[in-house]
Amino acid sequence: MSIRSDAYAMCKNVWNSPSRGRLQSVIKKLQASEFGYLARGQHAQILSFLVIDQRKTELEKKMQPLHIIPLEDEDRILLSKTHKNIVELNIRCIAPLTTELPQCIKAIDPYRKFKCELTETPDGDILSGEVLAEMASSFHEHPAIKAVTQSVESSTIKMTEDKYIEAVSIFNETLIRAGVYNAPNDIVNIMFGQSKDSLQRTIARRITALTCIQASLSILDQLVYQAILSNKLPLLDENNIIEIGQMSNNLVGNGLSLLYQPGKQLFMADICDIVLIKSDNLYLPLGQLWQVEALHHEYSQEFGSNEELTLREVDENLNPFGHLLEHI
Amino acid sequence: MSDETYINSENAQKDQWKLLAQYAYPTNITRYLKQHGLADSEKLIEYIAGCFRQSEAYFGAAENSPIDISPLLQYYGAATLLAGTSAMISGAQLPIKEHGMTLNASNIKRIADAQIIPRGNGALHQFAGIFSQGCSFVNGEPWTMEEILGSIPDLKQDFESCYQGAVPYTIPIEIVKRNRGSLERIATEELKRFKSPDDALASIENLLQSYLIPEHTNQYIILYRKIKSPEIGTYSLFGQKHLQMAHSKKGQKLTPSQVIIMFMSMFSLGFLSRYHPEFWNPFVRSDETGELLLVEKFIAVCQRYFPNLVLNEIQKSRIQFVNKSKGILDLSTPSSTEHSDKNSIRVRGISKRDMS
Repeated sequence: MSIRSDAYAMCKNVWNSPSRGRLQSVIKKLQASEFGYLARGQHAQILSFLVIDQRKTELEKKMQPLHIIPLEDEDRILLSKTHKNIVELNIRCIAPLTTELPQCIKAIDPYRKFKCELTETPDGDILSGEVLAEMASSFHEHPAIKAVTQSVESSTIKMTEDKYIEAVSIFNETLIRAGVYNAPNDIVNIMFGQSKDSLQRTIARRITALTCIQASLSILDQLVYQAILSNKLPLLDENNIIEIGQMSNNLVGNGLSLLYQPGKQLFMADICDIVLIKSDNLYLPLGQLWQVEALHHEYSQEFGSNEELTLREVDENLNPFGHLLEHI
Repeated sequence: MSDETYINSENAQKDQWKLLAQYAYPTNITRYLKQHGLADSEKLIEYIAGCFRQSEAYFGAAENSPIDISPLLQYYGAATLLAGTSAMISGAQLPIKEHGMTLNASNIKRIADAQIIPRGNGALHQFAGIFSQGCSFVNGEPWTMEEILGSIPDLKQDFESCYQGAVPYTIPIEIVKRNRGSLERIATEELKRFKSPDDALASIENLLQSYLIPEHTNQYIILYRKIKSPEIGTYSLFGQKHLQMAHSKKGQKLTPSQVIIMFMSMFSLGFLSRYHPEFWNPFVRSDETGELLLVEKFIAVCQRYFPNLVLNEIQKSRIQFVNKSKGILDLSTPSSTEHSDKNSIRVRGISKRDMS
């Protein structure tokens, strides 16, 4: 069993949860409006809708004559309690760190940068207590959590909460800016220029592990969100892939670009979406998960439609930076 | 057959025979058989060499004969070429005892009405087994000359202007090569004789094994090839790709290759001219419909392209004769900007980097 397979089992429970049907229709209704368009830019799953709802007045002023219809109260409650349910999942997943390294908790919160007051709600039911416990127990085996724990035991590095927030944020940004095909120079320099037990490398190892935990949590949350909306992961295979582009196996992870024809299996991807690739022609293990990091959609009467995706592979721990964690 | 070979030539018809004539020499035949792991024998080698020599002679005679007899000479040339090639490809002489088809031309008013009826296990069936694998003819089920002529890519335009309203069995494709996402497309204009575009596409065998789901725009049907899928379709003399519609015969869908389609047509015209002079003579002397133009075009296409198609089968490559200067590598032209850039609508182009 892996965190990924446990996440799949969790998603199956999401399909049968009591609120799923209602949530699905609320989200699909919102997605079809300006509200949904604005929310999509947030890339924060359920929280995206709540953020837009809260920033409604400010956005309307900025984007006149845009008129955003506010969320209905019962929809707001449903979305809020579901988001809280997902946050509860995150908290339980990183429980070992709350005692080992409490200063890092804010830094690895996938929703840290969003300022949104959530209304008082009853508990969400998308993820039951039992499901939360099972998923959290699996996540506790994440190599990055183990790396942080070991690092705390073996070194005396002291950092404040703010420093952790800043470091994880910069580290994550550096990885994303380098793109899926490259390992950032700064990180490569540390890996090859510093000995394993140097202070700089020890710090880098801890920050890498925290960045990986944050990324894995974010992917886990994304899987829950996608499970609310669909029983199937968007699938890329011989029936919609037009062309495989650049592939990279680097010090951070695996990257890939491909061109596909939008259709039933995957109508139109979005940034942060998790997609499943099943193709013998990639020379990669079948059935890997990939996260969409960039996309370019094209349509014309002359050439029809296609979408180019830049993807980062997600490993069995739901980690997109698995190679880095392993080697740093 | 996606592999292409370009041969510089000022006279393609002559040069294709020079390439085929290699197999009129025992040394070359022995080498070919060895390369393909086939056993040779003096009898087999002489049979193959004889077929290639006779075939060239028949085609040469057809070229210089009036239309009264040229179709029959062409058919003999084709049958002999296929017999020799089959023997070389399979390493054994085919046990052919008859043509494998009969001609029904009683009371016809047009060439298009003549019928070819496959029968027995003659040349047609045995050649189809080699040059049109998977196409198993149904004995007794007639094929009209209209549907056969409508299956030849190089005749499409003439076919449509000659037979008003007749539905062709071949659809021209335009291959669009792009830096990313090369595609093939069918102009919707080309499908106006069909009930609907979907109806036309449904008649193409293995379409969905080779292509992603066709996308319809106002002007085109867009076809993206599936990764590593087998290629379907055929090519005209001038290199245009065509998709072939299947012929429905007693519930079976059959898509004979161009070699076999041409072979059937040559048989039909050859036998029509030889055994039905009461029809052929007035037709070539005083045709009033313009059908003669189509027949003449067919004979010319076969004369030039049939040997080329057989050569392709021997060399397992699509051989194209071109006429352009050699020994110049022109790097002075800047790489062309994609046509799509000004015409396509870039709906979204975003990246996670924009968010960070």
